[in-house]
Amino acid sequence: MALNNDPNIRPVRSEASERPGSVPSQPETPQKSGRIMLRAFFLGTGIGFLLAWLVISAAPIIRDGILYLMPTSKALYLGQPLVGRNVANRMVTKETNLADTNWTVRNWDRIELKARLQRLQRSVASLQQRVERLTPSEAYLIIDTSDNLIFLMKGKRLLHQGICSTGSYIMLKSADGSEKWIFKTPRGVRRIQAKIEDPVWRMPDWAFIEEGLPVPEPYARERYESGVLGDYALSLGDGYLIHGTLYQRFLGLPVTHGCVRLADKELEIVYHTLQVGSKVFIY
Amino acid sequence: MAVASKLLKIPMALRQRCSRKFSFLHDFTRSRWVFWPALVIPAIALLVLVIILPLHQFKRQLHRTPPGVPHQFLPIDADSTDFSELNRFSSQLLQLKLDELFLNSQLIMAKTDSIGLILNLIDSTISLSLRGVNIRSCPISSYKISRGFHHLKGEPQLFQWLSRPFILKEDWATIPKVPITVRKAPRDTIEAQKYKIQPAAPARPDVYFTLQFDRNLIIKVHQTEPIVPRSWLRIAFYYLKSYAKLIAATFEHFYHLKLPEHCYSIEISIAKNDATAIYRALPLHAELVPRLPIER
Repeated sequence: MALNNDPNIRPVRSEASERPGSVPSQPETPQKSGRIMLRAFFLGTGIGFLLAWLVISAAPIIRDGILYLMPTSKALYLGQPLVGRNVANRMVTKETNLADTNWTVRNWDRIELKARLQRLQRSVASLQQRVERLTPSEAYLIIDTSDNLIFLMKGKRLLHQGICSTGSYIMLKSADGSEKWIFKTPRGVRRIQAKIEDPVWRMPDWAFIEEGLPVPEPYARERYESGVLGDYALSLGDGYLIHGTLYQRFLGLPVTHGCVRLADKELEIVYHTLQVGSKVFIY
Repeated sequence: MAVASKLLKIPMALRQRCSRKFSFLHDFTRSRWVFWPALVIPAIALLVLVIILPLHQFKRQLHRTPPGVPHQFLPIDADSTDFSELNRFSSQLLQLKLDELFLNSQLIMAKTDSIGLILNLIDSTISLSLRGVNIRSCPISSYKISRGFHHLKGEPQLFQWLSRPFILKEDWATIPKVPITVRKAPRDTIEAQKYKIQPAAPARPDVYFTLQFDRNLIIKVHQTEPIVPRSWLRIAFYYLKSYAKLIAATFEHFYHLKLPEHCYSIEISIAKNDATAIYRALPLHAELVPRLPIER
């Protein structure tokens, strides 16, 4: 291989060429050197960012592992300082080196700590009572829309448990797409607004639309249907009812348009136990 | 045998290919001055920004007490004969204080009209609460809490942290929050009869969900029952989403020139039915009141 007389091209004796049996390397030109540097930079940066990505991904686990090895505090934050005769001696800050100072529990501290303990116990007992008073003492109903179950409770005592049917979560869209209804049982706390015997169902527009029937006038006779809601109904407001059903075989399934359907036996028990104003918890 | 030998050849071929690719490091030593810094600097920088500095900040914030309020710590003196009495005092004080905070938070949560969550790790139960009434209580099969909680014990930050309910910011799961089926209204009764949907028991896919609350608390819930094979893809997407949120949160902190904060996570395992009911019942911005096992 003849060497160029170009002064820019300098033959370089690389380490590879000095190894026995190696092929002498190509002469290094500035362009080649630049290309190799760029290649080194991009390769290094690429692998570096990959490693960085791994570090970010594993960061919570690594932090938890380091916290596991770090020692925890040996002191308890009391909040309000103890008040007594030797206040200065008892004021402790985190900067104080606990190992250097001679700490013992003085009698005065012990009495005050006990008093504080008793105050806390009284406070906890009082709060506990307030929390327990939140549970209604009269009968109330819990409706589980996930498993389609009802629980009739009085205080913390279970009076009766049964199956029900709740909203189907079907969204019905009208043919032109201008109207839509979502059939779901609303969650939250409601109160019994009214108790009805032998209820009559006033069919809303969606009842006709989902059957492909023409929607009648608001007070047309076709809108009123008796016998489909069972013997009793309890109104929850906003058009939602707890009522009976002709389709007992579908109980336990989410098939309704938002109301809560009960079997005849459950309906009778619930109707006679709950009063107007009783709470109904739906989740 | 032929397959095994082919598989063994792959790492060899990979090594040869890598050595060819990186041969320039041997041939041109100056390139090492560019390659190694470019490789090491991003990794080390992120190690410092994402692990070391956040931990340092976490430890510093633990000891910070409310400003303007005199504070006191009850030390444990291992050499004193009053050691056991002090220990007893401090454990009782701590537990009572935490119980007080727990009950207080429940009363605050009871003032709202929405469903809240009570996580009681001492009794191993997770409950839905509405207006202070426990409407569903589910047993926890197992739980795991992150190490950060142990460092909170006895620190002023613990009481501040637990002083009020946590608020749900974000959640994601392997199941839909609201399982809506869209149905178009039929044109006539014939079409209505043709496409009448027969009621069926709803599908019960495997449940894994994550609840992200404010003040850096994350609750991860998964079902106790083993996973069915057809759920693998759904669960893989769930983990991918969790991972993507972690990366996004890290970069969001960098964008606002802040260090990523250490999150306290609790992983619990409950029955599938309970997990489904709890996830679907929790509304947006639901509140959580935790009761943590703090033993000294």
